Amino acid sequence: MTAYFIRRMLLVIPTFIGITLLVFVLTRLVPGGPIERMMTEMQLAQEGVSQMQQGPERGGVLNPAQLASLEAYYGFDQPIALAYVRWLGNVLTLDLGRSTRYNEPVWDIIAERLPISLYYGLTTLVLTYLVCIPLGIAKALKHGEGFDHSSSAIVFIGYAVPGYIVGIALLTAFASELEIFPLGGFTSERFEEFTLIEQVQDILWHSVLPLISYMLGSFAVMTFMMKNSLMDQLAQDYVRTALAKGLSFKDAVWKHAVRNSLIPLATHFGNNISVILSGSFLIETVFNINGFGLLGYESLLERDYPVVMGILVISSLLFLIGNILSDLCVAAVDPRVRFE
Amino acid sequence: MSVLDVSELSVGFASEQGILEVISDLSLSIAPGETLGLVGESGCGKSLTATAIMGLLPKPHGQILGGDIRLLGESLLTSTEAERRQHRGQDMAMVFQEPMTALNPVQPVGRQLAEIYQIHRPNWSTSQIQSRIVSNLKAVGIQDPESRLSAYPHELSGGMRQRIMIAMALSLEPKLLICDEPTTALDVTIQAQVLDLIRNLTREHGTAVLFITHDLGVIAELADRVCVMYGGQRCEERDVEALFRAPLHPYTQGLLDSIPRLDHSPRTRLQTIDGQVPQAGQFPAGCRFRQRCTRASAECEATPPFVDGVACFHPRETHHA
Ligand SMILES: Nc1ncnc2c1ncn2[C@@H]1O[C@H](COP(=O)(O)OP(=O)(O)OP(=O)(O)O)[C@@H](O)[C@H]1O
Ligand SMILES: [Mg+2]
Repeated sequence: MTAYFIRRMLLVIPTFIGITLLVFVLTRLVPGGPIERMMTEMQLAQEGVSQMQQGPERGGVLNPAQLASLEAYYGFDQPIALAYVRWLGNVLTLDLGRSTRYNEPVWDIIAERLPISLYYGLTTLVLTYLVCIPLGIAKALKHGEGFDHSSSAIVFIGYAVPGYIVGIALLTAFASELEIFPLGGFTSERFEEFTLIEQVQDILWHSVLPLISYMLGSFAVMTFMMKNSLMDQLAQDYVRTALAKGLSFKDAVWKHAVRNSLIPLATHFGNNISVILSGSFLIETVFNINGFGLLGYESLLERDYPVVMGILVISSLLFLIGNILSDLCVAAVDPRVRFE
Repeated sequence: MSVLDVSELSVGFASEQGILEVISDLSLSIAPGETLGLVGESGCGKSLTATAIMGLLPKPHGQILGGDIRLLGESLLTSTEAERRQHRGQDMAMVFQEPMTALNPVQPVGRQLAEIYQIHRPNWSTSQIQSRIVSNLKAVGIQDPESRLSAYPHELSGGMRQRIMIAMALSLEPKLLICDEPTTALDVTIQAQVLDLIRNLTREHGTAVLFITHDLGVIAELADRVCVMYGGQRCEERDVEALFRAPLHPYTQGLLDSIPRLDHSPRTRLQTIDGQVPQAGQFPAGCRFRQRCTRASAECEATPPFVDGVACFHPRETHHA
């Protein structure tokens, strides 16, 4: 197990190199990449359209200085292999270049938002499991009864309505009309002046509505995965064996079937962690949360390549870690998994 | 007094077309130390009979429609669920067909073996339970039992798992052991060993056995009496020797004829019974075998009574072979 874990960690290195290589090549190939961008610039210049006419705040256009620094950072004048190695070296020292939009180091921008995204991502993940597992179990045990049907209806409505719409509805109802929850943001304006306890309360206060919106998406999938998985397990021979020993149905469920039914959920864990960490720019927009999702979306629109690349690199790293965690979870619940 | 008394048991499933009766008016009884073989084609209701006796019919569709099941004189159908739970594992136990899936894959077998004592002997100490398990495993021929306790089912062979299932079933020396095709999933050599084991252990303790199989060779070797089922009904039930020597019911004769025999000349074709097994819901009225029977007459449209070990209007005393 330990040996497997070490090998798994070592495997992260080539995978990471693979992903970054792909990301790097993409910046050179995709339409709208820096090179094409430069050519458009030149065409625009020839046609006599000055940058000033488009307004200084239009981020889609880069000024020559920015272009030059981009070129230098990505080594456009060098062979791609050499340029990649140099860029990777920079990345490893957390030098992700400078944002063309904010003119700040990309790492600083990401570091500022990472805790917010991690907070929302992990809380959503934990809450989803905390709610979906018991709910799925209850639904499986009461399959076909009133509780099962009514909870299915609610879960499906939540699944069908996009999270951001729910967010808007919740904001309208509980923040503008009833004024129970704040209108948005991660913390209050006067956050700095609060005591520690007040700060924690403040963050929790601000997260209730966004967390509900975040959870709704994965909610249906996880609840039904749990329910179906447990129903499958209840029909298994070993449950019958347990009952034949004289165990009550309740004990057979809790002592035997439930752990087996968690295996598919554990497998799904890695998938969830990466989806949730990358955030949702729509929910972030609605609640005015400065997380990864919003940053990535804006950077793409504004062609702020260093930020886009930086986000890609960091999310792929989180993704790799998520997968390792997922494998560990699977190994923890299923002794048949030995990873030889 | 017999250990198990099943009288006129009917079992059915709730379906969209209403209740589908799968077992009709089945009666069986097994005396202490006796082994009753239950044979019949696939789907005739053998496993269902066993699960009905154990009280483990698939919920919520499986239902007992009539009759009674008595264990040691006490009706299992009028007792409470808690009382039935007391019997399960303690007075009656079951070994299933598939040793591969009958054990919980995520629990070490030692824990699964200990559980039956934790349920029925709550004041036994862990070490007391442990030493009982070890001696039980020795009794079923497992070498070095202490080291097996921490093994997970997937680390053991099929034969080993079935031995563990037998050890588990016999943990509390039940009065009745139900074996549902316990050797079907095993290699031939292992089959013989497991059968020997079941025979020896149950003889030793005077356990009554309901042994389900469709292998007549196994019946000949193991059973004292045989009950032949067809389409959810008992068609013949007699002593093994008498039944094999002179089967009375045409279906039993067909079954016996379909076994290849050494004393037959090698080129003759294997006998099979013509026609299809009817499914529940499509049973003909009267004798359910009549559509495939060469001896059927108008009389057979009424249900034949069970008299002198056979339910047939035209039982034949002599076997043609
Ligand atoms: N859960 C169920 N729902 C509906 N019908 C069922 C169910 N389980 C069994 N049956 C029906 O009951 C009949 C008897 O099944 P059973 O499993 O007892 O057969 P069997 O004699 O043990 O056959 P085999 O030799 O294949 O094990 C079958 O025809 C099947 O159609
Ligand atoms: Mg069966």
